[in-house]
Amino acid sequence: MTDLVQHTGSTVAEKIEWAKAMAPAGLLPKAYQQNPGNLFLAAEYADALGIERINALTSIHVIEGKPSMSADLMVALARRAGHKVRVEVKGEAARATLIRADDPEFSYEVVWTMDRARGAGLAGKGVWKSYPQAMLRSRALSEVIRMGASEVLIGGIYTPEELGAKVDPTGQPFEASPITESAPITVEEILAEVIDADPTTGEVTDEAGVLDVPAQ
Amino acid sequence: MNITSPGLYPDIPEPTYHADPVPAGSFSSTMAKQILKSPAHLRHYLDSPRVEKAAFDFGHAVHAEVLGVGLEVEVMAFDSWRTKAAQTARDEARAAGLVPLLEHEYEPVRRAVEAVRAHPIAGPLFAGAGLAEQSAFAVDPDTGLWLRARFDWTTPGSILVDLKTANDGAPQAFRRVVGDLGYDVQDAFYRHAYELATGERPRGFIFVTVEKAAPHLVDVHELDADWQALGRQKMRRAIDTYKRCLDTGEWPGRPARVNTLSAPLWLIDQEEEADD
Repeated sequence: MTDLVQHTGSTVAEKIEWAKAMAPAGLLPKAYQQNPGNLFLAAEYADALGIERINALTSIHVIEGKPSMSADLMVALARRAGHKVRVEVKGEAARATLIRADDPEFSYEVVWTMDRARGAGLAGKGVWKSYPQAMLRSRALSEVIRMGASEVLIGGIYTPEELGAKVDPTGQPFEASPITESAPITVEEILAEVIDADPTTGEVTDEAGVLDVPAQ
Repeated sequence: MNITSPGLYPDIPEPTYHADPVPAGSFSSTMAKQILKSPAHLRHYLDSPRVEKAAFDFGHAVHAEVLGVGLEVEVMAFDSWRTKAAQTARDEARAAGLVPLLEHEYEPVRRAVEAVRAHPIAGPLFAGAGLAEQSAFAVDPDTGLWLRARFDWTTPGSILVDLKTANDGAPQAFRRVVGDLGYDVQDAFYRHAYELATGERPRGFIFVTVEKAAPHLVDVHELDADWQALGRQKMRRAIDTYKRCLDTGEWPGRPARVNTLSAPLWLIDQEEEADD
């Protein structure tokens, strides 16, 4: 379960400094490497949620432009707000219950079964096939918190898996998730593949002799 | 020829590829574009014999000439296809796997090919090292379905290139065509199939367009990251829908209901401007 520590917040200048200092770290998830902008966004989320930035880096993922968070972080946020969250997994079913701090007489309940997963077209897919119980648990928890305590989620109301990312059994999106885009292709790059440069002079030559391509 | 292992296959003849050499059956980007219209459209497409329309031939001919492979062009010495003799010769050529063209039809093909070869980016691209008409076969991990794709041109640095003949290759015009004809789905599908077949992401996917009419302008296009993501979403929906249709044996059209139509924004804008 994700530990939460109330973050005190900081100035914009301090966050920019932090983002720049973190960007070269090779151990960061790919979406943040060499990307102070994404790191700054994560710092903003961390402050909004009142969690440590380092937790935000591993628990908040932007999938196709939408922020998402792990089911475990959702549970931690709900519990911090005083709500009770329980989950029970038996065979092919997961039951999650949420009792709000301000309305203890009522309990929100969500049950996810493999039948339901099949109906949603999920069963039989990669991680659902290998780790059905972990996926049922995650779906039941995120749904019950959305239902009964969405105010604690502050925008990140879905898990990466719910937004269509491929995830591992812990709910973490793979590095090769849709958010890592390749850079646009340049003319120089295309021409570099097809034009041979003279190794001694560096002069660009055209072996076919019919094309007039200016040297870069 | 049967394909039973995923990978890139450089030497599969075009008719073999289209006839689907995967014993279990495979899903192509053309099928994806059909099923996104509706499963009923795909069922109809699969059940109908492939029709070679005259409009196809210009594109095929340019392809064959620029890429140096694929269907061969047969220039016929007739003024038109009106006579019985011309029609017979045309049908025989098609049956032999050739692309029949009249002499006056071939002239724009020759000029379009020249334009591609003279273009400062497209020319060196197709003249350089690279493989034409390479096929990819792979298994989609989410559904277990076989996918197939055929890249017009693959560079050594894994840039996938698609050559298209266009009425208008200007970026604003081609953008509409990408949406209308589902080239964004093709973009996603080809990248996905390449990655699954090789274990590596392709460096990129570019479209080279050459206009059908003189002066046969040539342009090079790439979809931006957002459009690529949209294409991936559409591709995913297509593959998942196909899987569901195969499992259930049902190929529905559209729901039986009364649709309420709202005026598109551009029409409202037009009317408001007319009022001013």
